[in-house]
Amino acid sequence: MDAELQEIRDFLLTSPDYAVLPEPVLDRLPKLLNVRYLRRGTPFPPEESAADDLWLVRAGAVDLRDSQDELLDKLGEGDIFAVPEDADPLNPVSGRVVEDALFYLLPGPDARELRQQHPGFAERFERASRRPAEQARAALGAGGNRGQGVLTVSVGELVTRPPITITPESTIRDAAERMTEQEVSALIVMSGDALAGIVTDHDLRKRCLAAGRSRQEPVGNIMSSRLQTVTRETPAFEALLMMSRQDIHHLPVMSGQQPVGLISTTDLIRHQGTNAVYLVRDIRRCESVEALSQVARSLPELQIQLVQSGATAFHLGQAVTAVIDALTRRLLKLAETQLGPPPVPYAWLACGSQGRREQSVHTDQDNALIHADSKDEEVDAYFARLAEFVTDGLDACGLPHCPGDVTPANAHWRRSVSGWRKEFSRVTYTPDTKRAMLAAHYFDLRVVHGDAALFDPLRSEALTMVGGQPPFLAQMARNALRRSPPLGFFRQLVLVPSGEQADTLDVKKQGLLLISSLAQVYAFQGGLTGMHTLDRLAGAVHAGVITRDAGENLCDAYETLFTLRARHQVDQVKAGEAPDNHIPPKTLSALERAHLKDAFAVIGTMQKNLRSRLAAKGTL
Amino acid sequence: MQPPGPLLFCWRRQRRAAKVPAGPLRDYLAGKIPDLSKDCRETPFLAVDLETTGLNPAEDQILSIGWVAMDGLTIRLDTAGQCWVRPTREIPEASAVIHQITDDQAARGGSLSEALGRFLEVLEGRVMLAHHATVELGFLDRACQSEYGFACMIPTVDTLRLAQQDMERRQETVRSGGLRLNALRERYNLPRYKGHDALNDALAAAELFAAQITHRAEDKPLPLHRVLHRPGPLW
Repeated sequence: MDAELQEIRDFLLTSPDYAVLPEPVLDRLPKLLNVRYLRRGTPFPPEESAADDLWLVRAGAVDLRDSQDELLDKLGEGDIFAVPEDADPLNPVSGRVVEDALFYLLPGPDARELRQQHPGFAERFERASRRPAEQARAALGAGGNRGQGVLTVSVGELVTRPPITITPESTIRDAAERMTEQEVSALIVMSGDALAGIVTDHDLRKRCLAAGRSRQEPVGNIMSSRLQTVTRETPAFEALLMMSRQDIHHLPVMSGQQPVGLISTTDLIRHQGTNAVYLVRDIRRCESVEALSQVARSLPELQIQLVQSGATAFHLGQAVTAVIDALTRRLLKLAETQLGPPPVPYAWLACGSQGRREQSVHTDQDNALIHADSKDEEVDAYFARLAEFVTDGLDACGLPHCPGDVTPANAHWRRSVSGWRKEFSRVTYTPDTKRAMLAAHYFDLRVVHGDAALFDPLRSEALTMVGGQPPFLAQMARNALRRSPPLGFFRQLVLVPSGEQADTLDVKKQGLLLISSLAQVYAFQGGLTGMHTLDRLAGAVHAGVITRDAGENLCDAYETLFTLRARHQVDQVKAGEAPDNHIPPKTLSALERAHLKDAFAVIGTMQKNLRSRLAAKGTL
Repeated sequence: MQPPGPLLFCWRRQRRAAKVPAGPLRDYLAGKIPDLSKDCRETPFLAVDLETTGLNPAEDQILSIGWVAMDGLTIRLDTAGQCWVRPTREIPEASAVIHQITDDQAARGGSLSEALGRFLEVLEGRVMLAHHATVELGFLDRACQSEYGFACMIPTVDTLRLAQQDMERRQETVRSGGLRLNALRERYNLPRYKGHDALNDALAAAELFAAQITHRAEDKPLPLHRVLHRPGPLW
């Protein structure tokens, strides 16, 4: 066959939906197509289209919306749309061309014939015709509470009934009867109108039966009275984190001074199906590196559950970071047991994404250590051994050693307080590219374990200092602009050209880190103390460093990239592969690709703004 | 010379049909042309592109004819066709580079009269559409003259002229190269095609036309005579 319509045939091959067809079919397919051009603003599909018509976008873009005008899907180059047999009356989907578009249209009868002959194609076709309707239902479903992940709800929504209360003077026996009768595992103890404490079945066991106390004693004697509380508005996730950090299982829910409910870990876990709390508790119970590495195996599983329950980027990062922090603390305890107590106070610091609490399961170690000043040379040797123990332990738990050698086993990252102070001023007073890179790391250090008073004042001191250092800020900004998002001139995604990661996007290096770097520069400009990228962006808006729109766009972009990466990693974990940051855009839906491009475009715009400010004044 | 108005054009066309000897041109001229007062979006078109050895119809030769039919603004790829013509002289190197047709390939083509016969058959009842149609009309007239003794009188729209009109209306200055097919396509968000054979360029022109009409007409009527290149505007 000659090269007639070869161009169209080639294009069909780039569409995953058409590419499933065998070669000879693809060869004659172009002859079956019609070509249509629809101007921006035209309703889609056009009125005259018939059931089963299959539209393939050659250029341009189409938005599909539900009856509430919520965006369900965005069709772009290479995406198909199958005209449904009858519109779903409950969830009518309406489309509109949003960028002048050229389509290749396979008429209904031909599409039906192809489906009959090629089951693979039929499957793609079904999916294309179902997709908007399904997304409509999903969008509707998300409006209600049912089926929604606990991570997106607040505590108030989980409280199903008022708390069962008891007075402190009641006997322990009364309390036990009350709990049995009401089928609850905890009671709120009220002294008049005020919250006095809570008593749980755990307290009954531990403080009464095991302690040999009389059942006639007042409940007040065994209740917990130093209470952590939450309000109805507290995100359920925060409550969960609070419980896992403090190792408690019940939290009173307050409205003002009045308890309005009681939530338990069971409530949260029942709704969420995750074991973040148990994971942290299990970690705390491990007595050897070996045991820890066993427990750490369920970390990828945790990410799967969090992603499936609809966790936001913020929550996911917090949860994974909490678990990794717990692992690190446990290893430090084990190290201290083995090496003996530390000769001087110290603090273990997390760096990079763990420092900012933005971690996902695919990560390597980035740590540092600070210890009190001491003349004794043995002190440094002790911490070197400690660092080695812990980093090897983390490695055994599936968090590989840092390839860039950012580790307290390396003397550069293990310093005394005065050593760190010197280092901070070295990199901030006479900045160059390399020093600014180090500084970017230093300012993202967070105390995971040990004496926070060693490091935190140092950091705030340095932060105040750099505010008056225009050359430092300019160098940080230049560093933040060294990499651009992978978006080409025509809004096409620019993929890694070759090698093992060919045809993928590194959403971390080419996306998330760019936002984090920008946020760090804003944080310096605004003298912000927050560390999380989203906190910094919010702070930057508040301090007037960037506009509200810009801040929201960057937060959205961050959220998009983080979520896509998390889901990509979940797919990898499920497929038995090692999770990474390299997303092949082919695996994304049209909507996801559109969001991804939007995210990259936002980064590009903000980089441009920063660049022109830098160029205008030579500083910030 | 003032181009003939539509009525005169139809009349002369019928007269010529009576004079032309039996054959493809006569069949073509005897056929009806689309109603000039009907909307463009209900008119049958045939987008056409010629590849030639040069730009001068008096000296250069047709190498291939590519076409694709449009029913209104829907381009029907099932009608896409292309035929090659064996040139009677060697292909100048310059045009071989552009079209990537070499003497060898061209040698496999058929005669001009076969190609013309096929082409006139598919053109019947349709308005021809081409980018910079003067070239196409010049070569087709010349070819019909030499094959049948008469020029062919094809009702035609020209996407280049439409673009010019649009720019004049918006008082835009035309940049050099700004009226090229690819430059114009870019304005309408149409993709860039790699291939430049006659069929590809015919398709490219058809898509451009669909875009131009879609934007020009918006939702209002746009009768065919308002966009015709030949016969020219009403008197």
